[in-house]
This record gives sequence, C-alpha cells and structure tokens, in this order.
Amino acid sequence: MVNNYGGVCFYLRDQSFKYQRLNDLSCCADHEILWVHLRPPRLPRGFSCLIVAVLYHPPGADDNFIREHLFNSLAAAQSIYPNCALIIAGYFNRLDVTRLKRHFQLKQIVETPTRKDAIQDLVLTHLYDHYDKPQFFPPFGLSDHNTISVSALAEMGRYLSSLDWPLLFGSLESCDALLSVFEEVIHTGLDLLMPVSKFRLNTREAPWMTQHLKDLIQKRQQAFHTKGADSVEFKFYRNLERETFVKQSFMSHVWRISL
Amino acid sequence: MVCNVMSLAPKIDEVQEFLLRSDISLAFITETWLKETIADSSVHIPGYTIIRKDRW
Repeated sequence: MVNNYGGVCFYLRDQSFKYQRLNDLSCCADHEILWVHLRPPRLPRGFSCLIVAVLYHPPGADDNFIREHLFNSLAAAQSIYPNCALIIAGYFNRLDVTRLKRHFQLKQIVETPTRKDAIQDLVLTHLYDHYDKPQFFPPFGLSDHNTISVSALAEMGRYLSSLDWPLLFGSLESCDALLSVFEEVIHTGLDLLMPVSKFRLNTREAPWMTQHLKDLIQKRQQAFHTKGADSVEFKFYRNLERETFVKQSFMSHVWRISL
Repeated sequence: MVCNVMSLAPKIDEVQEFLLRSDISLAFITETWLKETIADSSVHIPGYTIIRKDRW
C-alpha cells in the first residue's frame, strides 16, 4: 500500500532538550514509528532520561505485527537506557494496548474521544503522575482528529516563577520584613494550590473501613429492620456492601504488598 | 501535544500558532503526509527542531 498518506514527525523546542534519534529501535521500514532519546534539563526523580515515540498505525495494518514491534523496541529501550521514562503517543486506531500497558507499567491518559466517538489518538506514559489531565482542542484545518495537549503539573513552581520578586522585595529593608513577605507569599501559594484538607482517620479500624463502606453497612441494617431479610432493598445493600468490602480490602492488601 | 494533522504542509501556520501560543515543548504529529520532495525549511517552525520520518 504505497500512497502519499502517513508519515510522522516531532517538533522539539530549541534549548529544551538534547536529542538523539534512535534508528536502532525501529526494526524495519514497515512500521511508522519514530523513536527519539531526550535529555530534558529536569526530570522527575527516579528517571534517567526520556524515550519518546510517535506512532501511526494505519487502518488495515496488522495489529500483532506492530504490537510485537512495540514490545521488542520497548524492551530494548529499557535495557539500553535503564530507568528511562517512556512516552508513546500517536494514532493507534483501535489497537489493543492492554498487555503493553501491563507489561511496561504504562498508563494511557487520554479519556475523551479524539475522533468522532472513538479514542484513537493515545498517550501511553510512565509520567502520568506528573501531568495534568489532557486538554482538547479542535482539529487543525479539515483534519477530523482533535488535538490533545498535556501540560506538566508544576503549579507551585509556575506560581513562584511568575512572581516579580525584585518588585516584592524592593521596598523592604529589614530581614524580618523580607522574611514575613516571603512567608506570606509561600502561604498564599500553598493555600491556593495545595489547601489543607480534613479527613477522618480511625487508627483502630482497618484501612478499608471508609466512610462510604460504613454508610452502606448503615443502610443495609436499616433495610433489614424496616423491610425485612427477604426484601429487595436489604439484598441490594447487602450485595453492594459485600462487593465494596471485598474490593477495598483487596486493594488495601495489594497496596501494602506493593510498598 | 499530540495530533493527527492529516497533511502538515498546508496547516503549518496553524500548527505554528498553536505551538507558540501554548508554549509546547514537544509535539507528536502523525499523518504528516510529507514526502522527500518537501524540504525541512518549508515545514520549519521558528524556535523548534523537526525530526521527520516520512512514509517510504
């Protein structure tokens, strides 16, 4: 199928990264995938570098073939660059990436349809904790794919760097005045971006005994007393409560094991 | 930024506007529909470096 369609590219902002094209990771010319190794000036703790890939999986192409390539290339990338962070984005066209996500601990962060009612443009990444929810923009020109934009979560940093520090401190003379203004600025930022939130914690209870579960138990008891043991209401709340209990206690164990 | 542009060359001005306005550091573009005959200079965006892989 030789036609003029397809083709992928990256735009890298100058002075943001040191980059190196990784042609070794592309096994053959049959896949439209471009791998690049990036060294941004700052990376979240624990990651050594960034490997990014842009993929175009055309309609009608073999799903297993591209999946196999992704497995091999990702495994190769991780062995050449240990602790690298991965971002793979592009047009996946209904390709099932469940196994890929599980195997490489990636997360797909696009949750809104990008073309008509299907999510076909995906972003798979390790850095999901460090990014905001993707934002959507209309397509360019007559393209029928929405544009996805993902920005880093660094709100406190952005807030601090947006301030005009010389102006704030310019008129102050004593150290105490400087300190109090500085503290005030930090506290304002913290209150706005990371407000203190209250939650109840009972140390004698199991971690999965959440308020939600307690409410369900309460409702089940009420249904038992008012409607009887054979009523639909009682059975509904009993089943829901059991289900929630099992799920939450299981998740709690998984969480402890994974620590 | 991720986008399936369905032909980049005619939309380069629009893409440039978006990248500069949103201060995008890295853009993933698919379906560029670029050919060897289209030089890098015609899809150049000031302040950005392009890495292309055209179809065949």
